[in-house]
Amino acid sequence: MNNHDTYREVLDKKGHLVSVVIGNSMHPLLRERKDSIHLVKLKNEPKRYDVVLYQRTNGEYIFHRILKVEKDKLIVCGDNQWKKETINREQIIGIGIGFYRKEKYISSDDFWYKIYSRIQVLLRPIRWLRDICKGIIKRIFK
Amino acid sequence: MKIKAGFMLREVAGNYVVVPVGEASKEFKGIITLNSSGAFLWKSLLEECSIEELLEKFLDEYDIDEETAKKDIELFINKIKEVNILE
Repeated sequence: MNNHDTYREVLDKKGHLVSVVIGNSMHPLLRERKDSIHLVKLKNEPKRYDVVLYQRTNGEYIFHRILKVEKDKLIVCGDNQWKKETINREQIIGIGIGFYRKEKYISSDDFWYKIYSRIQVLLRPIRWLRDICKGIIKRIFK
Repeated sequence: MKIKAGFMLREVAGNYVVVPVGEASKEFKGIITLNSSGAFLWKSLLEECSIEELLEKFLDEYDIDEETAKKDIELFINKIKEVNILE
């Protein structure tokens, strides 16, 4: 993500924003510096499977998927990660309603996208196994 | 002059946002939003275009007088020059 002060400002003013993705935490859906996200201001309560842009207490901007909604807390995780993170609702700046994979636009209402997001949430607990396997392979072939 | 490579123009809800991708996203760290006339100028500058050609295109597209058009174009050019995305 870039331009730290203005995400909130632009969303407040225009209501919509498109931003390129920095980092690989949402891979394979979003590829670094290639794909972008279409964000809007959060109007309704965020739900499970939604992807939200939020700000960490250290100022970092992160775009991750909601695994679970608790009272005033949200459990989030990147599609390419397995470590969960708990955030407050106030930390959320915007919600992703679509994605540009290069030129192709995919709405978050797309049927196949919805299937994909459910699978990602479902498979999160076994992603750490995948990472351990990767680690072992690296060790063998280094 | 023309717009450097690596910038995508996206239309969202009647507004336009410029999104840097690839190498451009490492150098350019801002958010550019454009209205429809800004987007028109942007699209015109995707190909090599002189100020005169730009003015001509702008006047063809919009029903405004030359003075206003010149001012708008100047403002636009200065802004994108400032952020170094014109070559």
